[in-house]
Formats: sequence, structure tokens, C-alpha cells
Amino acid sequence: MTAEEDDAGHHPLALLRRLGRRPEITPVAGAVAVWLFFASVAGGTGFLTTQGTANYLEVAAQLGIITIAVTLLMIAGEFDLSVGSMLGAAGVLMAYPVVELGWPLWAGIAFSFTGAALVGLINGLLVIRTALPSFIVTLAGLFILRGVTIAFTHDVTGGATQVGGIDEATAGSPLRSLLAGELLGLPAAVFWWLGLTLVASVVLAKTRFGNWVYGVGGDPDAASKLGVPVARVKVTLFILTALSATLVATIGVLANGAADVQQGQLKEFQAITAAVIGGTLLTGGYGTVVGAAFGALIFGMVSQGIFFTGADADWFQAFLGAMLLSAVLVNRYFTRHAQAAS
Amino acid sequence: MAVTALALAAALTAVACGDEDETTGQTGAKSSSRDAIHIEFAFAGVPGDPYYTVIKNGAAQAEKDMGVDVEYKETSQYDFQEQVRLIKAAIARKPDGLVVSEESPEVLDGPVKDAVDAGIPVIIAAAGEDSVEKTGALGFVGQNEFEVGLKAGQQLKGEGVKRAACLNPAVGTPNLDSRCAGLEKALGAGNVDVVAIDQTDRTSAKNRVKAILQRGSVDGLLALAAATVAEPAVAAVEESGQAGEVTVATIDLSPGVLSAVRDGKLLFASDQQQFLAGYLPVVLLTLQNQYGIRPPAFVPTGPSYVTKENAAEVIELSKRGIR
Repeated sequence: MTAEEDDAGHHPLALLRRLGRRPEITPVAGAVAVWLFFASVAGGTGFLTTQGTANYLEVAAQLGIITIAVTLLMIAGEFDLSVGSMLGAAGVLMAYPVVELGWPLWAGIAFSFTGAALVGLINGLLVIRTALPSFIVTLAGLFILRGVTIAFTHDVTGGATQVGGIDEATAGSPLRSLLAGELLGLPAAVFWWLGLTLVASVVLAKTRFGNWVYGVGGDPDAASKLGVPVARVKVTLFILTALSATLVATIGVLANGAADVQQGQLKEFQAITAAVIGGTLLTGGYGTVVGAAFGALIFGMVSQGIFFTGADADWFQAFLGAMLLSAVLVNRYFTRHAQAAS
Repeated sequence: MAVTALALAAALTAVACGDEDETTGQTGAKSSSRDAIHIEFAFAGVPGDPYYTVIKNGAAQAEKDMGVDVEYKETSQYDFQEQVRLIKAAIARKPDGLVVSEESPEVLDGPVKDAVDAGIPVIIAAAGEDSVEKTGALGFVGQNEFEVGLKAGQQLKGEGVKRAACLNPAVGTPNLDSRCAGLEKALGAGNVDVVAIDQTDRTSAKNRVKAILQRGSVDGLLALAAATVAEPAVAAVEESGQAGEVTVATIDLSPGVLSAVRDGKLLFASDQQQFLAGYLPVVLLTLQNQYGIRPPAFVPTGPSYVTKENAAEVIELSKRGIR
């Protein structure tokens, strides 16, 4: 023990070992590996430019915002498969009143956030009250929410499944630049992502609520006996997850000028993937927000980077899968290395 | 009025290209009154997809106009196995007419032939032109997808486009792949990059197009879907500062696409008029049931073109899911 600690300060390898004990280091290493790969393969075709960087960061940011909430929920031992459908629903909930009913933008946003909070509350209460796995409850939510969104939009618009004309309806609103503007060549979503990652990290690591989240996921019975309000923590996290999807929907609708009912499919799956790449355990009780951020970054770089390489579209999905698998393997390699060292 | 004209056209075409030897069996006249006629759709496509929604609206309008009973069934995912189950369920119910889209002929030809063999009058619509002969279906209502890509490519070429990206939201689907092949035929072998686009994430779609533009290898884009592909593509061109250098065109319409055409950001929108793929089969099958009129083997519904000149007048109809 003394020998280990002794060379900790001097030997470069030991520094790596100490770093390796941080759970975030593994997705960071994965992200660096993925970046190096694309920098070498597609460095000459724009991947390394500011535009190229903004390109994958925007995709990573939109996924990353959802991944933060999904990670907290997974640490607490639950899944929310309805976030993708929530994203589609929230976009329409916000866009329809603004475009068709002439509401001001803030009112449309408030309306969709209220609707989302309600969905999160229902998800949470259903999981707690029925004691069914959240995987099943929110899987039902995935279908119900998507179906209701399609049917509702189809009916109220008299046949369409999308709401366009956002740009005209919201021109000049200061909320637009806050949510879909640009700063330093980067879209607003990136700053929302970084800010929320910071806030959530602090909450998770430094506050009582953060301890509760880990406790609820690690050992709910023990947590309950220690007086942790398990139900309240979980319901809160379900609400936060729905709200995160709504924030991304709002940003997306404003940035892209239209809401349509198909948006967000498979986002639930991508967010869980990003969380797992980021080191979150599927079994709950373990994970970090910074890890989740790098998980989303890896996903964003892989899914966009391929298009800078000019690879054949037929190979896209195979390539995406292979890159993700490699990222997870790199993660595990570092995790094992770290464990062996300690 | 329009219906009468259509019926007349249908009758004339049937006479013109009818194959008398085949007009036995399933095309025999029946004397059922219209409200007893039950027509089913077994379609691919996801509920809420803007393209298929127009077809669905066409079918609903025809149900009203013809006074028959139409049931529109579509897959919950873009899943052809699920569509096979829809067709099998239809065979069991034995409707007076069945309308099927064949985006995947390999999977669907068999079940469609089973429906034909079971004595159900079948019309293939929206996709699957080549399957009419293979399955013995009565006819096809839709467009020739290769020709759509070819004609779009020729127009792009006329604008000086040398190398284009084919923005394909469902790589591996024969009808969409045919459009890219047609485009390549027009521009010359090796001058088309096929790019896979994710329709369910507009940010990702837009940024993929940006990545392609940044590589600087193409001067033209052909979007294979309107709202979910062409709209992000137009945004990508603008945000990349390449408006005017890169020519963009699309297949299919949406309100956003039409505004872009009106404003000159899109060269044209190739229009399949897929409302007809929902509407006409109901008309044709009703007439077939009522009077034994054999539907024409091929009813081309497109491509027609929306350009700067006529875009404005189509926007309102597109908002309502008719165009």
C-alpha cells in the first residue's frame, strides 16, 4: 500500500492509474479514440473545422440533454422508454398553439412543459403504484404517447401530421435566440447541454438529493429504511426526464422550423446507449453525469462523423454499430485496468 | 363530375389495353350495391408519416365520394412482415377489394398472389409497379420510380449539376433505391453519392447534409422525401452558405418544401400526387365490383412538377394533407 501510494506522485503510470479510478475516465478515453479515428480518416474533409465540430456537437448536445436525465433515472434503477415519444409530443404541444392559435412563444413553451410534467408524473406514479417494471410501463407509454400525438395532430390540423411556419410565428422573440441561437459558432443547445451537465453533476455529487438517487438505485430497501423518500425521488426523476425531452423538442422545433409527429423515434434507445457508453450500469446504483455527457459526445461523433468520411450509405448502420461496440470495449478495457490497479 | 370522367377514362383504358382472355373470373360483374362494397387497404408506412397520410386522406375522400365502405390499415412500424400479416388478415376477411403498397416486392409478392388466388380483386398502389404481372393483381396506381429519379436528374443536369447526393431516408427499399438509380442514370455512373438520412431527427438530418456539403464533392442534392428530408436539406445549404452554388430538388411535397420552391430555394418538387394512390383504387375497385369494369393495368399518377410558378397555390392544400 505504501509502495503504491509512494510512486503515485512520481510515476506517470501511477497517475494514469489514479485517473483510471475515476469512472468518467473511460468514456473520456473512448471519446478521444473516436475523435482520433475520424481526425485521421476525415480530417481533410471538414471533420476538424469549426463547422464540422459544431456539426457533431449539436447532435451530441440534443441527445446529451436527454441523456443527463435518463442517466439519473437509470442510477435510481428505472428506465423511461417514452422519452422519444415525449419529444415528438412536446414539439406539437408547443408548435400547434403558437402557429395555429397565435399564442406567444413563451405560452406555447409553458404549455408543453406542463404537459410533459404531467406525463412524467403519470409515468412515475404508475411505476410506483403498480410496482411493475418501469421498462414495461414506459414501453406502453412509448406507444400510447406516439399514437395520441399522431391522432391528435391529424385531427386538429385537418389531415396533416406536421406543424410548420414556426419561424414566421416566432420571429423576433428573445426566447428564440436563447434556445436556438448561436454563440461562438456553436448552437445554443451545446451551452444548454454543458450547463445542465454541470448542474446535474453538482446535484448528484454534492447534495442530499444526489445521495438519495444513488441510494434508491443501489438498495431501495435500505434506502427506504434510512428514511429516503424512494417514491418521491423516482417520480421527480420521471418528471425531469419528460422535461428534458421537452427542452430538446423545443430547441429542435425552433431550430428546424417545424414540428412533426415522427420526431424523436429511437431517442429513448439512443439515450440509454449513450448513458451506458458513459459508464452507467443498466442495473442501477452506478453512473455519473459527466460520463453520460461523453457517452452522448461519442454517439454524436460516430453518427455524424461517418458522413465526413464519405462511406457508402449502405454501410452506415453496420459502421455505427461497430463504432459503438468499440467505444464500449475501450471503456471496459480502461475500467478493468483501473480495477486491476487498485 | 370528376369521378364520371375518371370512370370513363378507366373504361376507355380498359378497352384500349385490356387483355380479353383474362377478363374472366374475378373481374366478372357483380350486382352489389355500393354500400355493401367493402374495400381494404393493407399498407406499409408509419402512422403520421406525412407522405402516407396523404394517401390515407385520399382513401377517406373516395370512401365518402363513392359511398362504399373503406378500411385503411397500415403497419405500426415500417415493417413488411407486419404488412404480410395485414394482408393475411384481409384474405381471411375476404373484402370486395384489396389495395396494397409493395415497397418490398420480395416479401409481399407471395402474400399478394395468395390474395389474388383467393379471388380478391387486388390493386397495387404507391409502390410495386413490377409486381402487377408477378402477382396477377388487376393494376397499379402510382409512379415509375426509376423514371422519377431519371427525370429529376435530367432537370438537375440541365441546371448544370455534375455530381449529386441522393438523400435517401430508407436505403435498401427498392422504390427509393430506384430513384437514386434513375438519378445516376441521368448524371452518369459514379456521379451520385447515396446518403442515408434519419427522418426522425431533423437536426441529425440537417447536419448530415452539412457534412456532405462541407466535403465539397457535390453541387446538387435530390431529397427523396419532402418534410423530413428536403426541409432539413434546404436549411443545411443555407447554413453552409452554399445557396446558389448547390442546386436542391425534392420528390414529394410539404408546406415547408412548397415555401422553399416558391422562394427559389428548391428548384422543383417532383409530385407523385399520391392522393390518387388512395383515391383511385377505391374508385376502380368500386366500378369493378359494381359493373365488372376491369381497372387499367397502369395508372401513372406522376411525376408532375411543382415549380416556382405554381408553388404558392399548392401550399394550402399541402397543409391539409391533400397535396
